[in-house]
Amino acid sequence: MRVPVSWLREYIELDQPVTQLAHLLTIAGLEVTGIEDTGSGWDRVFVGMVERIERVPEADRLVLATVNYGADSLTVVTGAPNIAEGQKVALALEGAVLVDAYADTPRKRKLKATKIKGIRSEGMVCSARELGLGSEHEGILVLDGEATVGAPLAAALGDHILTFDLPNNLAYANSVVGLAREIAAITGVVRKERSVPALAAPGATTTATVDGKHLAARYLLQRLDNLVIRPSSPYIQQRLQASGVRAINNVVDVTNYAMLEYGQPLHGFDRDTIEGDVAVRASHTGEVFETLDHQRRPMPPGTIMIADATRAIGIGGIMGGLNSEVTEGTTSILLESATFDPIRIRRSARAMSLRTEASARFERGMDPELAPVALARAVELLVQEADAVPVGTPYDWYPEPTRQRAIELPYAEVKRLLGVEVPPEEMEHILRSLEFDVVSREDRLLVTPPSFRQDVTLAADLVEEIGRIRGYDEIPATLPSGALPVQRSDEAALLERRAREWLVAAGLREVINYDLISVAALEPYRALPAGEGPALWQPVDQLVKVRNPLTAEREYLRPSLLPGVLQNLRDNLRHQEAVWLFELDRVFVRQGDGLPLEPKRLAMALAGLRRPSSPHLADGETNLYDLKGVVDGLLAALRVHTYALVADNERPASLGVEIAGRCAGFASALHADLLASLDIDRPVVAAELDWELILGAATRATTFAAYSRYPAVRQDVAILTRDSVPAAAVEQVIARYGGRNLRGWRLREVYRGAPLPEGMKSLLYGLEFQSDDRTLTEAEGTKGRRAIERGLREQLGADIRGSDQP
Amino acid sequence: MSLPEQILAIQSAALEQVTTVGSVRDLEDWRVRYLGRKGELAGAISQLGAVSSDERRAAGQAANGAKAALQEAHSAKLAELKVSAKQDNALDVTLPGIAPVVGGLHLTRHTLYEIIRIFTGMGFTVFETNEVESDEYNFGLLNLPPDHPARDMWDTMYVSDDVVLRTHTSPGQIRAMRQFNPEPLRVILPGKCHRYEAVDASHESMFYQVEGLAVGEGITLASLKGVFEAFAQQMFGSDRKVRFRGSYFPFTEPSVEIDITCNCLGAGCAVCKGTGWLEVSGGGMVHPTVVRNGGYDPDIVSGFAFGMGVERNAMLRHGIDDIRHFYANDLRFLKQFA
Ligand SMILES: [Zn+2]
Repeated sequence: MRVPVSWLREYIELDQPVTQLAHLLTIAGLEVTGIEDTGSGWDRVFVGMVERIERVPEADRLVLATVNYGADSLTVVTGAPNIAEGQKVALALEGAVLVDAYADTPRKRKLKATKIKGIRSEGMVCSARELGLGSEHEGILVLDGEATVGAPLAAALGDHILTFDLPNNLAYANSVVGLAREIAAITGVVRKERSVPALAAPGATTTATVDGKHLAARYLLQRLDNLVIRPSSPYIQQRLQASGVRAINNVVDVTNYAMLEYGQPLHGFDRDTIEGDVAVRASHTGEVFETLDHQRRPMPPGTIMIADATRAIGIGGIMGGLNSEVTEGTTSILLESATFDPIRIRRSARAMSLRTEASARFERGMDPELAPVALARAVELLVQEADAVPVGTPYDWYPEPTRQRAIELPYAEVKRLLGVEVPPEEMEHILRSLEFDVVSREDRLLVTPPSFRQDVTLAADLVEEIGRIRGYDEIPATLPSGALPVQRSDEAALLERRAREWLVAAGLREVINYDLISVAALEPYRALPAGEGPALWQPVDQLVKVRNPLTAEREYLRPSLLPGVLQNLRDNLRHQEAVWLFELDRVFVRQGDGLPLEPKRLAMALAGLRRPSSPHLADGETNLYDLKGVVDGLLAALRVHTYALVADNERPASLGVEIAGRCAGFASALHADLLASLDIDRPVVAAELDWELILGAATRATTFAAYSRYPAVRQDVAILTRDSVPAAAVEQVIARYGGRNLRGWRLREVYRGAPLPEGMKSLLYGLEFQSDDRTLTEAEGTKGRRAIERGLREQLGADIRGSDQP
Repeated sequence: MSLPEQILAIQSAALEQVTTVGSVRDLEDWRVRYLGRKGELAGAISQLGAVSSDERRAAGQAANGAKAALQEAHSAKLAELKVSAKQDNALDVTLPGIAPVVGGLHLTRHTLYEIIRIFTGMGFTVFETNEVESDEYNFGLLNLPPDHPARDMWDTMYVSDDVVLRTHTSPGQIRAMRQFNPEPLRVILPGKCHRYEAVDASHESMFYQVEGLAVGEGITLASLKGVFEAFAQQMFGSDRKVRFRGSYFPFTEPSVEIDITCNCLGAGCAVCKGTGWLEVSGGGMVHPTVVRNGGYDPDIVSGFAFGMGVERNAMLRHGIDDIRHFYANDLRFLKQFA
């Protein structure tokens, strides 16, 4: 909402600078988001009076105007069609800086004297656009007749315009009068009341029928005759313009003006288009209606319709009808001021996607007591602006006048909620300043809010009024008192954090993706074999769909994380030599029409160099063993004792991750076809794991185990075996034959190629023997090693290099 | 050839061969061949018992010398192999070090963890709830019945008439209160939220929110100010102050906007548009209806609640001017913060 300060001044005395006023309003909850100083650029622009107009020879559309500006007169050549002798105008002298009305983009230019058709033009009469007062450039801006000739324009027309961002509940303040009320309470200045003459003209009162208070709490109609449609006076036009409303004609302008001033939307119907009495009713089934904007619209059920004896003439509270629009030829109108049902307005406006200034106001709830006041103000203005003659008293349907309920406010309640002591007299004073009716009783106040404050119904609402008008600066900062709640530890969150921090330490970077994805993004994963573990792909009817997505890219809740992570990987590979990513977050599993399940998963995708390239090291491309090491290390770090990484017999270069015998996901080198469809041209290894299974199997603390203080004996064994024998089989034998002193082993080297025969490989294992209670001899190590060597020969038919080989 | 001569021959053959070794693997083969338990040197030593005592002494000395020489050659070669072939013996210390591989948390997570750390330090417990919510929890129980005009404050994505993507973490207030009533409560509710909102530099359709909720006897707006000030000072610096402004949320009464002093400490700058204050959160005293919906008696128990955007906190701390950076997951962005 834009509000000129000059308009506010009509309703309240303002002593403080505008910035101070804006600050006070902001603290009280009426946030001022902008202050515009409209006169600040008008150096060398003055109020002038057009003394004489002469034709310019050989130029039909130009005139030569002599304009007096107090000190002197000068002549200007202008093409403005609306210039007339006796007008007060904005006269810019040479050197004034004006908006360039002909530029496509906003730009200013300095005025110079010119010659047009050989006649010297010494200045310019300005349009609203040239002064930065809006878009109007059809003609010059005509000033109010009261303006002092020769005064700087800023003195006559300069103003501050405040822009407000009002919260929803402050609908009552969404007008000049409403703001003046708030300012009065905040500053302690009494606001000025305008006395609007009561409406009681001679003549027959208009009659109407309203189908019930479910449509409107109040409905007023006033007949006005003898209208002359023309542009409204400059001051009305200028105020509307400053408020961001386009001036149209006197009748439309006055209804807008009264709405901005009082907050009540009004509507005028051309009375000559109406047959019989006006009726307010709900829309018929299948009713179609053509609104002012030339749109034929189907009326949603329950829409409030304004009709005459034969047809609908408007949608109540939303938009008028084309058939009863006020036009240039209108001479008589019915002016409507009503309190329409907010919920009906809201539903219809939403259903039609037709939100208007009026519907927005009605939705928030209007005060029925305001309807006649705003009507009287509009009539007063129409008499001035359009020579209107009111006929009869207004029709006023008001079956159940609102009664405001008294609210009890115990004094203690203020301290209980605000945490600060407020003297009862101060409470009373603040509430009175907001025009609440206050009666004090012993330990409490009985407070009746005015009719325009229907938002106030509870003691807590009154506490808010006291808090915000006093200003919250008075409230101290104290830490909560009272019993300290039990602080619960959240195991799941802790474990999640440990996992993230472990992965970060292992060199992975966390990504966070949108929960919403497209079906297309899932499509490449459709062909993957569906294992028992967490699925990457789901048929579309198993996904949770958003009914009103922002884009098709974000339409479905993701069933898996990897599609997002792999997109991140692809994007980053364009500029990064190493991309190791993980995401640990929710996926969504549809449960019929109810709330979906939201289990968490852990996805990882690794590609590019294993380490940053360095002159000291050979570059190494990330492979499945990097990923296996991460998965292995993470599960061990989370103390998941029941996990196993097992070869996937269905897919090459793929591991199944098992936890407590259940499939928790996979870790694989991604298939070239999948990578091609994702537009990735480097090898990628990736995993997606069921985090809930990991969470369930992780153990929080480990128990200390004493370690041996005796030195270990280390021996190597080099094994020559068929290529098809997996390392896991070799290690099973080592474990079985190593004896009780075998502490561990480590595979140090795998070798294939010359001089080994085709189809053979060599594995070099380092063995470690150790005892808890004594130092082992080298011979005991040798004995253990020999036992292992024997086992390998017997069980796997392996040769032991260095002993079996010649 | 006498045994000592044999040993010397083995030694010289080994020392000659080691110069041609080009890899650690070849060096290991070399070691096994000459120095291994069944290697050539061991073979020669095993013959010691079969020779005269003079020859044995000489052979013993030769064997010890050979073993030492070969071991030295082995370690020297090993060290040489480990230095890059391109390098000469002189170490150029101006070469770059070998960078360790480092990962990092996402900036949102990092910020969220920082927020959680501060609030858990003040006795709050983390409480997570679902992202897909019923209309009832997201709105209805928060004093926003159907057709309430204030529903327009949240542009909502719907799954069905009754199911929405949560527009704020506030439904967690009801879930936490219902789980823990009648005990006093201090929880923070972090998580993703969604809005049907056109994306620009300061608006995202998905963002993280952290909601704080304290319920119990004696909880006041002053407590909210105290808690928030303690948070702001730990998060942004000990010189920060907190300001409340009047506001409106259907689920709090009174409602306030929470501002903290800007990085310019009140002098006014472009970030705060000259006001000296930054809006970081909204909150207030939990509305009596919401307290009741949570299973507490609002005449006895009061509560405060506040909510704030995690990304906005991060943007203010790090001078990020466009929220769209967050979920593009570009490492050129993410690597700057962790
Ligand atoms: Zn600043």
